[in-house]
Parts: sequence; C-alpha cells; structure tokens
Amino acid sequence: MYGFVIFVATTVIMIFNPPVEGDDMLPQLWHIGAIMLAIGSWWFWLFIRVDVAAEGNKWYNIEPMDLFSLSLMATSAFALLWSYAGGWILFALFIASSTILFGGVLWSKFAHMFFKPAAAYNKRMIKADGSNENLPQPADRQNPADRDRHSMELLKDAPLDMGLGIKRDAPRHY
Amino acid sequence: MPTFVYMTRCDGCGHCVDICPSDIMHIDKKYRRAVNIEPNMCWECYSCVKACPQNAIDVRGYADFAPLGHSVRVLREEEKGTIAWKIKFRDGREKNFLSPITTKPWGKAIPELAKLPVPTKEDHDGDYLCFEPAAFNQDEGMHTLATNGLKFKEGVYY
Repeated sequence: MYGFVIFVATTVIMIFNPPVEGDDMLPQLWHIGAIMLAIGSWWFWLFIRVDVAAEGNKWYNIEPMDLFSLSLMATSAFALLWSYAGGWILFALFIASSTILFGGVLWSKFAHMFFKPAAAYNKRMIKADGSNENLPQPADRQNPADRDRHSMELLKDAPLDMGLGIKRDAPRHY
Repeated sequence: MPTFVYMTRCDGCGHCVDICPSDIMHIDKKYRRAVNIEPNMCWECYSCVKACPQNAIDVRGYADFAPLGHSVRVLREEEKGTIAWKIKFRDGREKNFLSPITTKPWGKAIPELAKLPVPTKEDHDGDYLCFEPAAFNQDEGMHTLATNGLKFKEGVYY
C-alpha cells in the first residue's frame, strides 16, 4: 500500500514537475515505490491468495474479480520493465495496464479503496455525533449505572477481562 | 425478515460464515465480502449480527409487525462478558438492555463430565434415571460416534 502511494505520488509529481538533470531523488522514489508495489502484488498473487480460507484459488485460476490484482501486478511489472529496457511497447503496456487498473474501479475490488476510507470516516462521524448508527454504547462494567443493572449482578464477582470466546479462533471452520 | 450485510463496512473476516447455523452466510467471490445467499432460510437468530466485529450486519424486520422506522441493534462484547441491545420504536421510544453472556471467564470452567461420579443405584431408582436405559429404545447397544464410524469435527470454540 505504501509502495502504491509512493509510486502514484512520484508519478504525478514527475509528470507535472519534471525533475532537472542530476536530481535523482524523485526517480529513485518512483523506483522504490514500483518495486514495493511489484513485490507486494506478486507475493499476494502467488502466496496469500491461494491460502484465503473462502476460496483458495490457485495462481493460474483467474476469475473476473481478479481484475484489480492482475492490473496492479501488470502496472508495477511493466513500469519496472519499461524503466529498465525502455521502448514504446513496454511504455504502451504500462499505460494500458494502469488505465485498466484505474478504469476498472467500478467493476473491481479497487472500489474498496474509496469505500474503506468513506466507511472509516462514517464511523468517526457517528461516534462524534453520538448516534453510533443506533448501536448501543459499549458497556462499562465499572460504571455503577451499568454494573448495578438488573441481571448484571451476576457479573459482580467476575473479572473485568473475561477473555475471548468465539473470537479466540480465526474463522477457519468453513 | 433476514439479515443483510453492509458490504462497505464488512472486511470479509468470515466470523458470520463460521457461526451461521443455517449455513447461508457466504463470502461473495467477487467482492470478498460477506453476503446472505438465501434470505428465505434465515432463522433470524442474530448470531451473525452479534458475531460481526465490524457491526456490519443488520436485520430487516417483517413488515407486518416491525414496520419501517424501527431499529434493533446489538453489541456483543465478549471480553467484558456483556451483550447490549438498543431498540428504537416508531413513536420515538427507546429501550436499552445490558445483560451478561457468561458469568465465568471463557474456557475456564468447562465441567469435565467424564470425571463426575457414576450414578448410584438410588439415582437409577429415582425420578430422573428410572426409565434409562430402556427408554433409549436402543436394543443393540448405545449409539456413539465411534460405533457409527463418525468423527467429531472441531468447530467454533464456545
């Protein structure tokens, strides 16, 4: 993720403010970002994706949902290949794969890049305005208002930290 | 009415899939988030609602007894051993409930039934056990998992 941020940020900066000759920092950051992105996306594809409890797809089983992962891998790979070898074909492939990556937002999991921050912001908002989306307030067993409620006296002698029950296991039983 | 998942809030952890007794909570292959694949078979047990760490699941109410405008939300905090419900009625009334879900720390006080003493003759002649083992109607002997060639698969820990 950080690789992606560095990569995109340096790309944008270098397009609109090309570095002068001799100034190596931005190109180096670009390469660092691309390498981080390539390592991360390929590592996910080849090792983590096959382990996921829900499906566990092999690396050669491609599904429509893989649009995001594959275009991310292609973008980083072609970026590094173009930087190393040069030439119009690799540049065109790099541009094509990054276009698919960003253009496919509506149809791929990349949309969650927008959903997740929106959901996190929404969470902060509902905490701030008190509504908490109608969820009850978290219990405070040391607060007499909660501690002395009807039936809560059953917890009078119980420790404040009861340990983990169903959350003790990672959900792998399906 | 059945449960539904706010896919933007869901992170695809799978706790609801594990705990659904009707096996209808699945992970959507495309979005890698939870989804109720068969709302008709939902028991409305609220297990998935309580188990979700992100509180991303909610339940639609049947239109005939829970018309639009109500809200029923639950927060299960097993580290504290409590479960809290917040019910909002259509006329604005609000009810808050807070109850324990366990009185001893999780996993600490599981009784070891195999180590309890075998029932005595007085117990067998008493109210509870006087019809056993004849009432089991198992003339060829007690059925166990082992005698039927079955193995107990480890499930969600309680």
